[in-house]
Amino acid sequence: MSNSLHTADYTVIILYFAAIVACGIYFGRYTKSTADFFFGGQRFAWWLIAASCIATLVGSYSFINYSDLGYDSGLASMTYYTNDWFIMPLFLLGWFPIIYFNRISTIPEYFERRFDRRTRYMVLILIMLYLVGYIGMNLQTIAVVLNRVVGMPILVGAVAVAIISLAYMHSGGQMSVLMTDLFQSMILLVAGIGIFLLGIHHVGGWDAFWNGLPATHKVPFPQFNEPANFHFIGTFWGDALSGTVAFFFINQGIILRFLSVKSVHDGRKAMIVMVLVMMPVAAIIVSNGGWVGKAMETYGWPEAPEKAKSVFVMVMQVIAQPGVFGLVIAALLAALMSTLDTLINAVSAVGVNDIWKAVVPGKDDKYYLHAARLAAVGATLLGVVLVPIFELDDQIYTAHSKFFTTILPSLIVVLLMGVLWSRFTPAAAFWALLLGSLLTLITHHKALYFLIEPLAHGVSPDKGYIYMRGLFGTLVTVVLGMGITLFTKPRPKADLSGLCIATLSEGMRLFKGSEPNRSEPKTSSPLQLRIDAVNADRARLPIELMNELSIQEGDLIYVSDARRWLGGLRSVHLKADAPHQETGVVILNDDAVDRANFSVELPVTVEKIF
Amino acid sequence: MTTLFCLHLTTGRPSDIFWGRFMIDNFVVFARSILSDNWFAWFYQYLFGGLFFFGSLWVTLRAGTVYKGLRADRWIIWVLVIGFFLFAGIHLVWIFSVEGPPGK
Repeated sequence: MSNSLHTADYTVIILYFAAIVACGIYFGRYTKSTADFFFGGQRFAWWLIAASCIATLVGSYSFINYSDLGYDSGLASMTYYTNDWFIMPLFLLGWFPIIYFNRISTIPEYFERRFDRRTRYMVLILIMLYLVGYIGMNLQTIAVVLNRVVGMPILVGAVAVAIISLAYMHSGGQMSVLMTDLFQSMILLVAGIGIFLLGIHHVGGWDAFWNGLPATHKVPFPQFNEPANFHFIGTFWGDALSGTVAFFFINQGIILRFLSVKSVHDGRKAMIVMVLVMMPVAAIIVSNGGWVGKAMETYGWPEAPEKAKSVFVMVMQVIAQPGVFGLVIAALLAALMSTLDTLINAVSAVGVNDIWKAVVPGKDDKYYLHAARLAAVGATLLGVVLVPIFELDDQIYTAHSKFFTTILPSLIVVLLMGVLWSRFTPAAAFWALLLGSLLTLITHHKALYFLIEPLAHGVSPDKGYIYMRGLFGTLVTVVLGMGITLFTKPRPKADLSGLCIATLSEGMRLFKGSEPNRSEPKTSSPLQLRIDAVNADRARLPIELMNELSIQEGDLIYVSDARRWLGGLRSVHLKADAPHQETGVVILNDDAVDRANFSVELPVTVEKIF
Repeated sequence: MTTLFCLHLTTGRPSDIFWGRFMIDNFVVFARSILSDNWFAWFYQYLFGGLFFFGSLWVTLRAGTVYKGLRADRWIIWVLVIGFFLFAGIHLVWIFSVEGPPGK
């Protein structure tokens, strides 16, 4: 790989690193509280969240793995990115409003509020082990890429990447992560689509590309239950239902990203655009190297890859010109770095909210903001320490992935039962999670494969039922959860306000602190801003505007810079105070203007939330 | 097809006594004998995925998580349903254009 690099490529890579560090540091100055650090101040518009998610959707291994899959199986490699719609009602109408209205910042926190402390601690240990291990894996992967590209020793590469990541996200947290991910998404989009167009051009145009794919490579789904490592039934149960729920419901990074939107309505829009548009686009970005490789092979590619592992790199070496190859490497790094910064932010959130606040409670927000920044440093250091360990023994790496893939179905089932069934008891949650995970773990022993076989839909056990084990884990945990619930005492419904779908309507009231205003949300035309003495967290609006937008005193409103393209970067949530009589003027106090980062001379808009 | 079905019923493996395997495996063998893998995958995905999708939509709506008096909330229900049929429709047209109508 390093032999193919030219000065233009090195220039692009250096520019990439410089740009993300500058972007992260610039937007980091908007972070003034823990709410900014973890949730970007819950101020962003739907389109900004949806666009930034391309980088989050393209994981550290995506280019290599999906190109391999595309080469072996054709367009069916898109399956993983196009089978997520089934969980949308549960996410958009259930889980997302629950965490938003209850201001739940971490997954373990939900488990304590819905169930009890011991379940929280069990989930906390699992999530921290997962996140920190995954940071180590990402650092190692980036270091390996840098080793191959510029010959940098792996540990030096890991340390360098750790320093760069911290440089741009340490001060800004989610605010920096979001903005750099937006930038990295653009790189991925340009590079991914560019690679595809170059590849199509290389094989002689669209018709030549399409005709160069074997018939088996043109269909949307893989074969039903074979080969053992990639088949439809595995992707359906293991990914569409289990994996997707894991990604959207318990991925701390995704949770923090979606909590950054200005309202539940905008979060729903962001999610819909993400699944309907961004995910298929991401699938094309990461898979097309393999499709192009297959078509090239049909037309006598002189060096057909002996094994699909190298197909992405081989295709790039053939089609990418100097400079473009650098852009491809930058895209690879963008995929890795965006995953890494999201993970660091997630560990920081869990570390401060679930651990540090329990150890040192009652401090002010500045103290916890400082702790969050230190937690980000600590998480990155731990990840660096793991790199040589993973290098020494790749079985630790494999065991980490295997362990979490195995226990995931139980975690998902317990969470979903908690959301859907108010009768589901804390004891059932704890024991179903523990026993369900253990029972699923022991099925890795070959002698117990017969437990999975009845559910395997004819899949061969050759690869150890890597996907079908998820279906077993799901069913076992459901049975355990339901069984134990019947014999144990549920929490009173009054304690579950807003925490499950049966009590979700109370969540809005809790969030607002009073009865929600159910009239249609509307946005004003641009208004002039004025600073004056107003009650804390309040804004005074003209009487005719309040009538026009159906705003009542005490309603939640969102005041934003009138330039929509800022995506809510300069904005603040407030409550409507008593109206005034001056047309076209919004009155805010100093603190609100400072939090919103407004310039007083620029116009703002007002939107009624509820 | 009948031969294939009967053969599978009499493999004599100890696990065949478990009714779940018996049912699921034979269902798969039967379906694959009359449908191509992609058509079977399509029916399977949108049948079981559809049950999950519309089941969860029904449960959440029944619990009152959406305020139907609001245009913004009604909008989300329509988008969800249209999205489901959009994915199903695109996959259907895609398989049809490559393989032709369902069948083996």
